[in-house]
Amino acid sequence: MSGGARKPLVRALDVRKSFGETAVLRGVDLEVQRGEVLCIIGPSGSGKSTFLRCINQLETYQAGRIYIGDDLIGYRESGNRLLPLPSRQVVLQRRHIGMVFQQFNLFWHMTVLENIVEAPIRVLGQPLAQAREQAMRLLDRVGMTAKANAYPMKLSGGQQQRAAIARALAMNPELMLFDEPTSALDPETTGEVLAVISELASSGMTMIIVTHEMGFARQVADRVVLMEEGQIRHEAAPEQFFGDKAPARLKAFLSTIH
Amino acid sequence: MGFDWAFFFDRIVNPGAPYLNALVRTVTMAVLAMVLGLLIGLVVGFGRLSRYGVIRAACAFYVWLIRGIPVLVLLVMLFSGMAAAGLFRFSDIELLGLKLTASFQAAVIGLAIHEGAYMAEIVRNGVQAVALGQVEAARSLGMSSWQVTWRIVIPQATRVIVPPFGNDFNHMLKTTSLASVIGVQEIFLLTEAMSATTFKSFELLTVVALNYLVLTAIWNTIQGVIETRLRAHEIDRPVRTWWQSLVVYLSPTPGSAERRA
Ligand SMILES: Nc1ncnc2c1ncn2[C@@H]1O[C@H](COP(=O)(O)OP(=O)(O)O)[C@@H](O)[C@H]1O
Ligand SMILES: [Mg+2]
Repeated sequence: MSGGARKPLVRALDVRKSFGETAVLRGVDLEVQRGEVLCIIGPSGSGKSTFLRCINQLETYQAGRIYIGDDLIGYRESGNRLLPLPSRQVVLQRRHIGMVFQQFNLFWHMTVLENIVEAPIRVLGQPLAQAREQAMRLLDRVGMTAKANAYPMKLSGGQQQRAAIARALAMNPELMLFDEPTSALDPETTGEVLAVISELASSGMTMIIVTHEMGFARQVADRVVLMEEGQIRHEAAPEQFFGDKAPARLKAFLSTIH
Repeated sequence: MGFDWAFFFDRIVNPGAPYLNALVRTVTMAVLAMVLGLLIGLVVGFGRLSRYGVIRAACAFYVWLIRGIPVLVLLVMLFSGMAAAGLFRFSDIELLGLKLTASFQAAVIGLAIHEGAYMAEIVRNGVQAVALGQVEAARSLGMSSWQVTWRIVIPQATRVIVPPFGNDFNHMLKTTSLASVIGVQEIFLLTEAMSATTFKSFELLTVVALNYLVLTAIWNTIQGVIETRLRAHEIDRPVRTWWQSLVVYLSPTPGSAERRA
C-alpha cells in the first residue's frame, strides 16, 4: 500500500454475488481514489448495476470486501467471518453515498423542492430553512430553479434527472454512483444531464458512472473499466481505453456499441 | 288505492324520532364497521406482503375464507350461531354513556370482518403500486425503513387506496340493511315494522330507498373532494382548501372529468 494520502475512497476486493444459482459478480476488484471519476462500461447483464447496488447496499454481496474509506460496507469482521451489520448501521453507511438511477425515481407525491429537502430534514435533522436554502443553491447548480415547485409528472426526463442529482447532492455525499443516468432519456435532454454530471466531475466529486455514452466517458473519466461476466476485464485511462492500442476484445465490444 | 303521495311526503318531512335514531344507527354502524375493517385490512394487507411465509399464508387464508362467506350468513353465525353453540354471546354494553346493543355489536364486528378481507386486497394493491424505484431512492438517501414507509409508501399508497375504499364505504352504507336480520334497529328494519302496521309498504320502502340514495350521494361528494385533494400534484388549479377542492371536483374541466369517469 502506498501512503495515506493515496488511500482510495472505494476499495472492492474479490466481491461476489449470486442470485440463486446465477453468479452475477464473480470477484470484482476495483479501487477509486478520492476525487476520481471512474466510468464502468460493459455489456448488458454483466453485473454493472448489481455492483453499484452492492456499494450502496440495495443488494448485499456474499463474499469479498467493499470498503468506503475505513468502513467495511454491510458487514463487520469477526476473525475470518463476515457478520451482517444491523439495518440501523446499514442506514448510517448509506447516508453519504449518493445514487442516481436510470429511471430518476423522484418521489411522485412531492414537488422538486420537497424531494430535495426530504432526506436532509428527516435523516440529517437539518432545519427547514437551511435545507431549503441548500436546495435552492443545488437547483441553481443543475439549472432547475424555475421548477422548484413543480411536481415530477410535469417535468421532462432530463429535468427529472437533474432534480434527482440535486436530491442526491443535498445529502453531501462523499461518493456519487450513477447507474446509466441518461439511458432513459431522449437525445435532446441527454446533453443537459451529461453537462450537469461533467460540471460535478470537475468540481472534484468522487464518482462511479455506469454509462453507454462513450464520448462522455472519454471526456469526463479519469479511468475507464470494462466489466464482463461479473469481473473487471480491462482498465485504463480513457485515451488508452478508447485508443488504437486497446486489446482486441475491448475493441470488439466497443464496436458493438457504435 | 295507488301511490299515497301525501303519506309519502309526510314521511319525508316528518320522519319522527325513532326513524332519525335508526338513521343515526345506520350511519354509525357503517362508519364503525369501515374503520374497523380498514384496521383489519391494513394488518392483513401488510401481512400478505410479510417476509415470513407463515404470516403471508395466514393472511391469504383469511381473505380467501371471508370472501367466500355471504355477509348475511356471517352476521347470523356471529350473533345467533355462536350463542346457540355456547361459544360466545354478545350482550348489551354501555360505552361513554351510549348503550350498544348486542345485535349492534355483532353487526359492526361481522361487517368489519367482511370488509377487512376486501380492504386487505385494496391495501396490498396500493402498497404494491408504489414504484420500487422510489423506495430504493429513499433508502439510498439514508432513510430508515420506518421513514420510507411513512413518508413515501403510505402517502402514495393512500392515493391508490382511497377510490376503492370509497366505493366499499358506499357499499357498506347499503349492506348495513342486512343487520336487520339480527334485529338491529336500523332504517330498513324500522321501515318493515311500520309497513306491517300501516300497509303502505311501497311508499315506506321508497322513502328508505331514497334515504340510502342520499347517504351514498353525500358520501360520493366527500370522496370526490378527498380524491381531488390527493391528486393535487396532477391538477393545474389550486386545491389548497376543501372549498377549492369541492369546486374543482364539481366543475366539468377536462382534467377532473376524465379522472372521475
Ligand atoms: N434481483 C435480481 N434477481 C435475479 N437476478 C437478477 C436480479 N438483478 C439482476 N439479476 C441478474 O443479474 C445479472 C446482472 O444484472 P445487472 O447487474 O443489472 O447487469 P447490468 O447492469 O450490467 O446490465 C443479469 O443476468 C440479471 O438478470
Ligand atoms: Mg444495469
